[in-house]
Amino acid sequence: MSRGFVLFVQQNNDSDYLKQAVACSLSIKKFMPDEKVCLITDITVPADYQKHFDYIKDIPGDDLAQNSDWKVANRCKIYDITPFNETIVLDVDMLVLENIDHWWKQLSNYELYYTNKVKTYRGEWATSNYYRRVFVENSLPNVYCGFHYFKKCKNNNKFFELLKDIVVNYEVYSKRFTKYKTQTWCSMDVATAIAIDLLNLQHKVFSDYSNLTFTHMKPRIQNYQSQMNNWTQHIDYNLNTKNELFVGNVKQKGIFHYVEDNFLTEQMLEQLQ
Amino acid sequence: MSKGVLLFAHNNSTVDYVKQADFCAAQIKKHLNLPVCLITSDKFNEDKNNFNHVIVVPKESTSQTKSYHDGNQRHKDIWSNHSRYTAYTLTPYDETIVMDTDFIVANNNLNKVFESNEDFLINYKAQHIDFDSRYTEEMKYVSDTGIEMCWATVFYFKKTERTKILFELINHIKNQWDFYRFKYQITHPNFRNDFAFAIAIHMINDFEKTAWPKQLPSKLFYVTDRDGVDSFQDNKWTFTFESGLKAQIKGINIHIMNKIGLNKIIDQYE
Repeated sequence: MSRGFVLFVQQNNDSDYLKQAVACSLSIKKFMPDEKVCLITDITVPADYQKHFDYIKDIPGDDLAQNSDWKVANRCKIYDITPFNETIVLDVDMLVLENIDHWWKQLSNYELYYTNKVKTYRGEWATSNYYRRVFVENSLPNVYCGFHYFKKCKNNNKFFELLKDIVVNYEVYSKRFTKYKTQTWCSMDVATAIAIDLLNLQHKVFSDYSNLTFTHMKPRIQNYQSQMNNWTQHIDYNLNTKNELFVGNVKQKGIFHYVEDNFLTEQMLEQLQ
Repeated sequence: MSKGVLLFAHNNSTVDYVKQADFCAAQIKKHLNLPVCLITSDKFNEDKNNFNHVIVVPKESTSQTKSYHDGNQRHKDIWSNHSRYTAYTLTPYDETIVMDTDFIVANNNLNKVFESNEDFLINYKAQHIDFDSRYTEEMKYVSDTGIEMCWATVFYFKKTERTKILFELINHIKNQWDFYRFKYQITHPNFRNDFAFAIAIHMINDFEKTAWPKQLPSKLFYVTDRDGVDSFQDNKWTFTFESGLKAQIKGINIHIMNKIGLNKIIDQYE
């Protein structure tokens, strides 16, 4: 069975997602040099970036994110494009900070795995619903797509076909499934939550006990008393020569979702290389 | 293995810590039945006291001040709290519980520390006895964005290589306090043992949260210096909270941060 990581990048006007994908791939290979990384993108990848990926794949079909600044809708095609039988999908604004090779074994117990709980940089479970009102008020599963896993299989063919349908017809689905609080734009988290809810997969795709998750740096879930909007302006962080990342003097482990674009500096990218 | 309790007391013109230590020692003897060693730079009543050992140390040279509150009253005075790290070298016991003199025991729960195999035990969480108090939530971390708090109010240790390093590290942090408080986003300039312990533990744990050290077998309840201390009788404390609410507790260990109020009660008790 082939396995590997998939990173998805679509051109947008605000962020250099390609650079972030390079950093993410470098961090994976730093700790797990044998792992394969596939980049799915509609951007022409410069030659000096190409070497950081084992596969580079185009995004096929119509652009589902044509009218959106936040280019995520095409992510529902990842299942069709991935060259692997077993895939871990990561958001590109993430870094892998240790060898997580053993996660594959744990994940192999699932056909499809999503995390429904994330950690703060202080190592606590995030309990705030600040960014999750749509999920809470509509009783949708609290899914985070930033990190997920799937196998190629019949059940997942069905799941991802449904996911695509939700993304394409988001307005119809959102009216029905998010009527108590509606998010006008299509996010993969909400679309995936609707798909999981529709197929009643909560008991199959989440785990109450596993640590297979990531550190999420959205500021309002960090258990602060103050209300900050950009954590990088307030908290000291550094990546040392051993690729150990310290945030507020707390050593980060596992997968780190830095969220803020200005986190990844040229110096950090050089260090990862 | 010898066991005992270590108390530090350095008086200032606002609080007679030695008197507080003597009261604290009386409660320790009554409820824990353990010997008590006082470490002080001040005079004490040599004829009548509740201490089994007294170690006299030189007066700390410090200009650090703090505001002592007794409810709404405020007194600013010198605050000598820099010698806690010497517990490791000065303790006459193999296994030691160190307490603030304003931590008053009222049961024998802490004796369970001697049944554990741990080399160090401390509280990470403290609970105001007014469960609606905002302080409990506010004091979870050394600062809003900082690491998890721990409470040096009461802790247990036995001498191991690790605890030796821990106390040396606390001394180092104390000596370089301006650097560490900046590094750990602590806004208040005063050196505080709680913070130094939290930082030292964090450093020993390679800057991560780990299973070491475990918590003491006794929850750390407290009242603040904004709460009034009304009375103490038959192991029962009466307080008037900042909110005006009155409360009584019996048989519960309590950290009474209102040191002035506590000393007034001790005077009456005597």
